[in-house]
Amino acid sequence: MISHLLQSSSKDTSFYLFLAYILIGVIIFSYILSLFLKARDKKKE
Amino acid sequence: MILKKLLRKWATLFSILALFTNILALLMVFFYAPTEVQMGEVQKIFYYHVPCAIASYFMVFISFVFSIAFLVKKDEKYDIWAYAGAEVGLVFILCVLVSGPIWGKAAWGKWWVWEPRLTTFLIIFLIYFSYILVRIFGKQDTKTLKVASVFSIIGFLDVPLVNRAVYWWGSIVHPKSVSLEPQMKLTFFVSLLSVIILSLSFLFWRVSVDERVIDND
Repeated sequence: MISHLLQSSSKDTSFYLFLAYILIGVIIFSYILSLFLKARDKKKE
Repeated sequence: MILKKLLRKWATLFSILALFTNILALLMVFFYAPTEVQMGEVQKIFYYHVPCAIASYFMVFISFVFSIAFLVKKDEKYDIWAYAGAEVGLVFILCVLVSGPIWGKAAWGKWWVWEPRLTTFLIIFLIYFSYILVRIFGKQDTKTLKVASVFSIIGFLDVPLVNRAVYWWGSIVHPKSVSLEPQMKLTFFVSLLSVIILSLSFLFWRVSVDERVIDND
């Protein structure tokens, strides 16, 4: 019973871990994209 | 005058360094750092959560210094750096505010607790978010730049409060000090280095794409 609980808890936390890293990745990637678009607009001008 | 060519060189150099150090940091986080006994896998959020917070302080410090320089010297070249620092700082503040509640939910069962460190950090976010709004929706005149500079200075004054909040008012979720295993320590320092390098590469790119920086190549 206890081992089942521990297993499910560790499974849950690894989901949260990946969620956090994916969201950080999304924020960082979005900013890189915005800088890239800004640079492209500036070049066009 | 801001030398665009030199800026681009620094930005490229730091981007390459950021790519390699971040790959190394992620490999260390997932395959080298041991799993913490009490919190389990989710504790590994720490390796990017804390470095992102430190990088955001570093960036808002740059914004703070250049905002003061702008108010004193009234030269827009200082404002370019102040704006870039605030914007990059806000990106990392957002990373902290996204990863923190996820960690909190997994480890303590709550997304958010109104405790001093979290609240003071949220205030930093709100101040710099306001700064960006002033810059986007305000006129591009000296008055707007001055108002934004004041926002940046006030925003940075909150950083020592965030740092000391745990000591002055206590905290439910943030410890006063953390003791780490040697492998954890090494992973943390590599992550910190990678995030600081990434923030610097963002800063250089951001300054180089500012419309006030003139092409000289």
